[in-house]
Amino acid sequence: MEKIEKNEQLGLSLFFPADYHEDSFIVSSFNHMAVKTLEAYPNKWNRNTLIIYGSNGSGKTHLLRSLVMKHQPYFMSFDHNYAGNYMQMIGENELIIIENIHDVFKNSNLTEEDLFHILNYILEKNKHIILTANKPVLEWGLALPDLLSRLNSSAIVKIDNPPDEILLQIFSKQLSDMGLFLTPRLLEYVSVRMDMSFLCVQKLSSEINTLCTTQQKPITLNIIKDALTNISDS
Amino acid sequence: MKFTVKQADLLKATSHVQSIVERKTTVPILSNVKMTVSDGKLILHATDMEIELAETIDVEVEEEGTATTPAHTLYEIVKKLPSSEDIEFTLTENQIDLKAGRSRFSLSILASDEFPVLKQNEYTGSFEIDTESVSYLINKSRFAISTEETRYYLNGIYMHASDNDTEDNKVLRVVATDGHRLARVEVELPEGAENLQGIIVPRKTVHEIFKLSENFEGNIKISFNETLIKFEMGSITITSKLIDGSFPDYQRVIPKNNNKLLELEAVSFAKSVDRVSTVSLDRSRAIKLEIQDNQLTLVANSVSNNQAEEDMEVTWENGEEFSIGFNGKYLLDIINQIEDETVQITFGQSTEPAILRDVSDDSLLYVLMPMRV
Repeated sequence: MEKIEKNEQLGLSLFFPADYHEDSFIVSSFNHMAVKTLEAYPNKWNRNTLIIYGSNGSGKTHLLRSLVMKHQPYFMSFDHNYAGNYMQMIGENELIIIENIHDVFKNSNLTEEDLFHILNYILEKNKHIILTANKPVLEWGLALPDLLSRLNSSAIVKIDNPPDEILLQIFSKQLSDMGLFLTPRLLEYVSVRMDMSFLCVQKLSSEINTLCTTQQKPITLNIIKDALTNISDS
Repeated sequence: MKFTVKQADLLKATSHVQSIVERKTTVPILSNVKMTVSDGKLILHATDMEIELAETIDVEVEEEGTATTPAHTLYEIVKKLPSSEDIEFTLTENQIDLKAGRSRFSLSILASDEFPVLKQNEYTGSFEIDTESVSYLINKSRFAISTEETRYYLNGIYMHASDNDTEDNKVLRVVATDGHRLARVEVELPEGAENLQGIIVPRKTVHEIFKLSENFEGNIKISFNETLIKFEMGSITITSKLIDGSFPDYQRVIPKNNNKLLELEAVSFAKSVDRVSTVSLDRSRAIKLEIQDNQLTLVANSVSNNQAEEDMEVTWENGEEFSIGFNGKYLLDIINQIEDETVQITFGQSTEPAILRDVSDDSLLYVLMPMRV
């Protein structure tokens, strides 16, 4: 008879929708330029294409959801069945958004030529488009010179790495979106042990969410310790 | 205030009331039931500040008025009085007197105007639904509601209007999860429920509505807004605060590509799980399912070296050997919801969620996370 050696209940990967309310958005020097640019839409825009880039978790999605939804943008998405029908997709919409454009090429059959045509069409019809990415244009791995040239002539705004204090606020907000709350003592503990980067904030909050779900517990010191160990091992 | 009421009528109403009123509360008035007598009716109000019940019964009124008195004590007294007796209530300056046959009681009172009421905002939607559907939605999902209080978003059922899986029908869908398992149950969308975009009904309200629905026939009128839900069931109205939070995107945890199909006889499986679990009564209740050549072997053991094994015939189209661990209690909770003779389980990998379904009932879907064993 086989013996069961160890038992560990696994948890569902619960994904909590983020709180994109404008009043939950943290504005500071690191994203001030992006906020000002989006608030100026459409009257003070002198380019048809805006590129916003910043590392994962830097708040690009939140920024768009809180500041431009009132303009009823069309979020253009692509998959492997994309049939080149961008004109039909854009239709009468005046403001188009393509999020995480750096990933779109590998997750769909959109080609560099297709994107170039889309940008030309936007220009021709005097519409506007916002592209978001986690790195600058030169690191998207593009080969089409015309597209590179067109992108480089766009308005480009970078979201910088924020000061530690802001990063910890973002960390607390991400956990709060998942229904989890850090006591000041736990926040202090984690703040001196985590890497101060958007990426670490995202990985750590996700790992804490997984452990809290699996163990059906609120955040404890042990959960923080395990989460820090797990993300450093991964 | 003076009135006479039939014992059976008052017993039924006070049993509903005492279920709402918390036994331990730091606010004395919340231990009380408010009684309002007018126009030949007695209205009983009870609340714990999250949920409020109002029930109307016919009485013989001699003098109209209102009073509050301890709810649990009143219920215990009424329960012990003979069902043949009428009960006479008389409010005096400092107490309320009850007389039934040769029994006499005096109960303390608190000022009626201090009795709290839930602030009612205008309801943005309402619909009528048959009691059987409400009972079905709750009964098949409530076991999966989380009891862990920190993540309070999960302490209720998520209710919303949705397309069904094949997108050919609109449904009223209820989802509950505790992070280890998830229940998704649906019924045809009642007219008027189209704008129900997603509300979380607290656990206590869910249980109260289920209990009341067991003894109620007819339609329930459900009204809702962003913060409240109201259930009107004949002479009973339950109003409850909703949980203010975001329910997780449950669609993301329902596997799309589970392709290992196991079909087995539900009752036999439940009995086997129950038997084998006997030896693993530790907190994890781990059971290992080993499947090969249309045979399932259930294995369990405990830290104290007790062991159990049981085989059963199954349909396993995959052919390959496969094993996976589950919490035996979670398995039983789900299998007990299956009414068809056959339960269908689809697996991905042994560390990925499994889907359990009733072969003849598309409206039920359960997701269960395995245990690493």
